[in-house]
Amino acid sequence: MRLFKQGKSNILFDLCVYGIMLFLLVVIGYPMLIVVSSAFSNGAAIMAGKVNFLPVDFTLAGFKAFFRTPKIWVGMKNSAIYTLVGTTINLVLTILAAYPLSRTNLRGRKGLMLLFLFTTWFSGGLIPSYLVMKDLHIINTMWAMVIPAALSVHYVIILRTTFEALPEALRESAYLDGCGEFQYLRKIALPLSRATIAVLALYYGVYHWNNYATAKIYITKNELQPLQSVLRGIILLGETGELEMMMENEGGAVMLASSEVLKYASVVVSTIPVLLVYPFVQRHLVKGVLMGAVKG
Amino acid sequence: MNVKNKTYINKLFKDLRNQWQLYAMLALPIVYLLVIKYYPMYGLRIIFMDFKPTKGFDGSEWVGLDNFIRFFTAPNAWMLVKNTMIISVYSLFVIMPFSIILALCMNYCRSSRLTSVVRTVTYLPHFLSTVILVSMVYLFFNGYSGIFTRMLEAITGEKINVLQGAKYYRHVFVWSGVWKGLGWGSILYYAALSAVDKELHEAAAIDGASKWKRVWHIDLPTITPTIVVQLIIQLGGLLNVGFEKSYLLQNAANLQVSEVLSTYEYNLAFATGRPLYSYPATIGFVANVVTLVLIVATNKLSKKVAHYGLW
Repeated sequence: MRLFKQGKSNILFDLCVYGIMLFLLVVIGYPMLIVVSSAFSNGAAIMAGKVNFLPVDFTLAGFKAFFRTPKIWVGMKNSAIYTLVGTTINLVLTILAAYPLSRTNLRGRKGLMLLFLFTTWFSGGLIPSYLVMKDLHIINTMWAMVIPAALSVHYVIILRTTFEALPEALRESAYLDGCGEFQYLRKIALPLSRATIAVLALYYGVYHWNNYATAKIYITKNELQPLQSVLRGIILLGETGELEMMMENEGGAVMLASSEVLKYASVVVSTIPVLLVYPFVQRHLVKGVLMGAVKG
Repeated sequence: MNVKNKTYINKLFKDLRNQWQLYAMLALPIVYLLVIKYYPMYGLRIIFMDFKPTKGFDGSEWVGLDNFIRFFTAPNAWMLVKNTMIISVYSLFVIMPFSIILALCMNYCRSSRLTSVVRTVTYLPHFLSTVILVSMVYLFFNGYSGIFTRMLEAITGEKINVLQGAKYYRHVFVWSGVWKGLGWGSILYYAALSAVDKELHEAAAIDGASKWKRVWHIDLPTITPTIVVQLIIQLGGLLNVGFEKSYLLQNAANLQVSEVLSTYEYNLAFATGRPLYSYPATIGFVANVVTLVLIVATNKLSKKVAHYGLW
């Protein structure tokens, strides 16, 4: 009797679990599906509300319009530069900070660690930071996009934890063989920490690619705007002016419909870089977050 | 005494010399910290001044606590704080339970295929940019053709424009945040659940406990420290409602609920014809200090209640 009751209760549990999982799958997945489908659909169909699942009147018009807009190319070029340069600087600084801090025999380690940690508890704020950037004359330059967030202390801690996990014996035997710190870092510590560095590169890279706020604060020149700023202009402010110029022979309704497809296509294309990297790093993600949660 | 000091100093210099490479490595990051993080803290002195960019730090006059008084007596100060806190608390108390539930489900799901697919799909929104997220909100709730607008019309029979005005703003803000952050937020709890002692579960199952009971009596108590720590961290960020998302969703019609501390600070300095610097910096400073106090206080509280804290 007892076993039978337990069976029923557990079956209900399992069904609930399946139900919740499927529900979440739909709720989270459906919007993304609609975005992709709409990007490949006919503009008029979208406006008429016909796109509910799969593309309607399959067309690449949205993507064509997207790639024909000059400011998109400017935006993508800028974002690519900011992401590559930014992530490189990020990784260099993070590694240079994490390695010494992982060495337990470092003189003044506690104090140095505090120097880093304090910046996560308190900061000067938006205005003082802006004034410093102004004094450095990097407002409205590429460096304003890359320097403010050049180092994340949280990620330094994650990498430091990874370095700390390397066996001390390895370091000692390398030292006996005459290996200095730089050499050890380059030849042993880094190769062994590849997984963590890959995850951090992803985190930093995605941050740069998705960054909008930094540009909003420090960049006013059009030619330096990153992709996200251009996207905001097109999708949220309706600045599809160039598109309208291209379609000057068409009627108002067609232009409206075309701008809708353009918006959906924009969303899809600007997410592609992230989507490409995502599968490679997904398996490392759980471990990465767990390391970040274990502080001190 | 002299000999002792001399030996200590000798050893100090010896260590510094032997470890010069490590210090060389730290040089660049420390320069970054000093210039980008610490130097602005010195610049915080503008909160005691009436800073004018044309006059600079040395030319602007000192006004003591005038900026503070201005903020604390400002008619809109309470509105700002209220908006910020409501969104923060609303978000926290929605995302956390759902993340935990998702983590529990992934932990107990009998189909590893389903878990895998759900994991891939729910983690993905975290990597979308805020601009993309807000774009999706705008596209889906478009007054005429947006998919969600049409769904709402199908359910309620009315054509509701969710994005118009202030009525639904907070719900849109928070629930879009749930959509984006639910999967990612569940990782931490999932990792904590994986660390639960398997033997406890086996013993409970042998004793006839249902899975419901096992979740309630084994899993949840085990991950309570994780939950508490997360609560502390997030209560610490109570006043830090994201600037990007609020700024993108703001418009003239919903400003009385959408203006939060971070956007107000930005708007005062960058979005007006007469930019202010000292006043918004003061607001930011007050928010930071309150945040610091909150973190320390909640940490002390959690140590008392759950015997667990961040440090």
